Amino acid sequence: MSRSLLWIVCGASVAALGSGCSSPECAWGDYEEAECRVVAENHYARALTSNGVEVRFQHPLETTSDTWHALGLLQENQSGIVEARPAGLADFAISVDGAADLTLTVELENVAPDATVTVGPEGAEVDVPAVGGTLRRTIAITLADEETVWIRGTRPCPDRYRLVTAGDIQTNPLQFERIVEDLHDQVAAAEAAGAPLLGFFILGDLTESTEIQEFERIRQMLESSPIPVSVLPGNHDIFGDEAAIFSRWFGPGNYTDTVCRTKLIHLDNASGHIAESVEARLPQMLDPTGVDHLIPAMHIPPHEDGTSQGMRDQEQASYMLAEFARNGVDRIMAGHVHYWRENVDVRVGDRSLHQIISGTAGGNQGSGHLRFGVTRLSFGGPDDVESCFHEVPVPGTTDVDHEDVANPIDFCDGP
Amino acid sequence: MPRRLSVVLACLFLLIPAGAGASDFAPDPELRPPDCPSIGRCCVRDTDPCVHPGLARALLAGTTAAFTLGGFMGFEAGDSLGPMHPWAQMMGVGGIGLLGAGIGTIRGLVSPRGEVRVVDRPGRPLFRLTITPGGSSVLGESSPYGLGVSLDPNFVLTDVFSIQPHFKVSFGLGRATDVDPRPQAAGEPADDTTTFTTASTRDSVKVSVGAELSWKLPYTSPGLLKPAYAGLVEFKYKPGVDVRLRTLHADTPAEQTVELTSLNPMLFGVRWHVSPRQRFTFFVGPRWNWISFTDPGSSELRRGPPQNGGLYAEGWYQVDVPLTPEGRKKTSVSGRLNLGYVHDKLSGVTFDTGAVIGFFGPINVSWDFRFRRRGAPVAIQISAGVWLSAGGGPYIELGFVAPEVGS
Repeated sequence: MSRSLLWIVCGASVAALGSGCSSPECAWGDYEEAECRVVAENHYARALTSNGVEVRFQHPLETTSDTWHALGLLQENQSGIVEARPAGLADFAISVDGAADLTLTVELENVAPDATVTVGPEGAEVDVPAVGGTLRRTIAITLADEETVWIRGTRPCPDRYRLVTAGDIQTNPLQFERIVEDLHDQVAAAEAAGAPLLGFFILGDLTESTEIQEFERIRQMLESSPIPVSVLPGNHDIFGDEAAIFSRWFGPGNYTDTVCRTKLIHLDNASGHIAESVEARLPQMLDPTGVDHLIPAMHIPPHEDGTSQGMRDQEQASYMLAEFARNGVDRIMAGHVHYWRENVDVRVGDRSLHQIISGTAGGNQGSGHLRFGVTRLSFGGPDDVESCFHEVPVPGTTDVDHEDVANPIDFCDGP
Repeated sequence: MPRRLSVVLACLFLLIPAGAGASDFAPDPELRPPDCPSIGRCCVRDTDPCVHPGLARALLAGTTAAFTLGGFMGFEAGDSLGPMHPWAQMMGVGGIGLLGAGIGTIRGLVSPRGEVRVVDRPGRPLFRLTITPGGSSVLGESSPYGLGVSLDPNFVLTDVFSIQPHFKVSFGLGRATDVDPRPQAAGEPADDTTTFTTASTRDSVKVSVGAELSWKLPYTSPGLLKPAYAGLVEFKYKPGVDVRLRTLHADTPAEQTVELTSLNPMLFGVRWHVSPRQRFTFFVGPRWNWISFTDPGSSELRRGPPQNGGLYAEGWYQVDVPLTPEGRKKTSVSGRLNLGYVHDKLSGVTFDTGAVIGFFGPINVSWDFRFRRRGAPVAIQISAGVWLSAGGGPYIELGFVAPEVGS
């Protein structure tokens, strides 16, 4: 074959590659990709049951069931019961639609014991009592007249309240179990201090190897939590994932959750970046209307601080930081790095941001001082946000040295 | 992507002139020293000063292996990276040196003509056009082709000093478009191929300005130990600044522009000529970043002070390959293999493996061809390469080579 002919063949081949062969976003199901997890989290926020009932997570203020929102996880188990796990820590809504006389049992998980849960058509709701102080409620529904049945949850909102957060469980789930147990003491202490502890948000890396057994174990541990827990994926929770494992076990990673007057903005950057469609929604997600505090939470810190352990795409990270600065966020919470570190003056344009890394939920911290525990955020009025580190030491620790000069930590004063 | 890449790379082999390379692989006993028992103990013939390439590469391999291992141990000891920790940079740059020493040794052993200097070896051309392929495999989305224009005149100041200013502007030949894959998202479909709506469009521009100052260090110094003929060393200083502008047209009333400026005022490096045909180069230095942004509806950037941008590093191993016999063809063709690691962390391209995401910069593998008519003062240089990384991909370059000023 002459060289000229080879050139023609090559030109035609390259031209052919440039056209066609396209498919819709995530047609091949590579859930290591951030955009694919957007598809998965929206898929698992609705369910069509075996008897034809349509169940959908909705925005808490939603009044119609025409669409749905990725604000929770729905799945029908082998007994025909629909398990519903609201992703957020406070208010939620679920719509139930179907033909008359169809029945459905819904088991709610991750719902605060102090939440008021109601069920029924709009205007005819009845209360669903809590079950012995646990995070579960069971609801039996019989549909009638093709009216939408709503399951809604709302929580009381005190003047002062607390949230706790940490990420990176990975290699030491046993230590994380101690942190979950410690939540009971923290709930009591917070109640005594007049600032109830409303929830725990985990900053990703629940697992080391994206194994189903690891997710199962963490979810079992969270069932013994006294407060609701929201979860983000980390880079260790998504690699090699062709089955949407994280989304299947914990639901969405990109959503906002308004807890009293605080808006938590959960962003899934486990792939080193956030999905472009989520980036486009950032202005809406960060809209401060109606709340006093904005707290974006993600696994990988957007401000790298010279560590080489930031997001893959620093251009996108810069855009995120600019959006955070424009909207005046109060704290940026992240994990990924296995220590506790606070940057109180991250300069973005003419604004200053406050970032806290709390990769302290159990993952290997190498040599040096081990610091396991959670970051506590305390909220009051519009400009009243405090943060500190609450340590849950490893058993056998006799002298907890709080004078780590190389990495100063703002320890909480009391339990 | 791999299929597209393999076709493009296969086609690039057509750029090799017919018959090129034959001379390099034909035995040429005249050019191999007959009395040399070991490649590590002989000077390369007709090369001044004397270099023992085998020894130089062994030294390089040992040094870079220690760096790579040191970086790995440093990371393992702390499990995480702290501000300015150099562990990932050491692993990346050290790994390139180690791999390069191995490839260089094999190349030196199989080169029948020995390792004499390639007369017209490829370098950085005066003027370059860079094209990066676009296209998207997602319906409704578009990723534009990228175009880069570079200017790199080289000024030879003295026998030992030279300076090469650098200017480059890169931009997309169109807008990038992304869809919103939520099935329930309301709105007009992005186009008639999909039901997904358009989430956002983006424009981006990057401008780089800098200079590279080179100083050839003395090969032997009175009073010091002999250099063991391990090759010339150049000291380099390469300050520079990158400005990246990114404008996002999201589903909001006004577009938003973010400018990321990165300043490298103290980027120092070393080039080690381990053989007349092979070089190892690395740079390292701190960096400062500025993020500026506009408010909705405004084009004025809000600026402020810088923040720590971490430690920038890059490492390159280059192997020259003569493809036509010197002086025996109307057009001489020479080639160069480049193997590099760039710890950049700004371009959204990182070498990821498993759960290790975002720690390392990209790896570059590229090849340059230089074509020059016999006796011509100017030449053409064509390059093709690939960034082996998440977010990377192939590129081609067309360069115009002019004489160095002052040489």
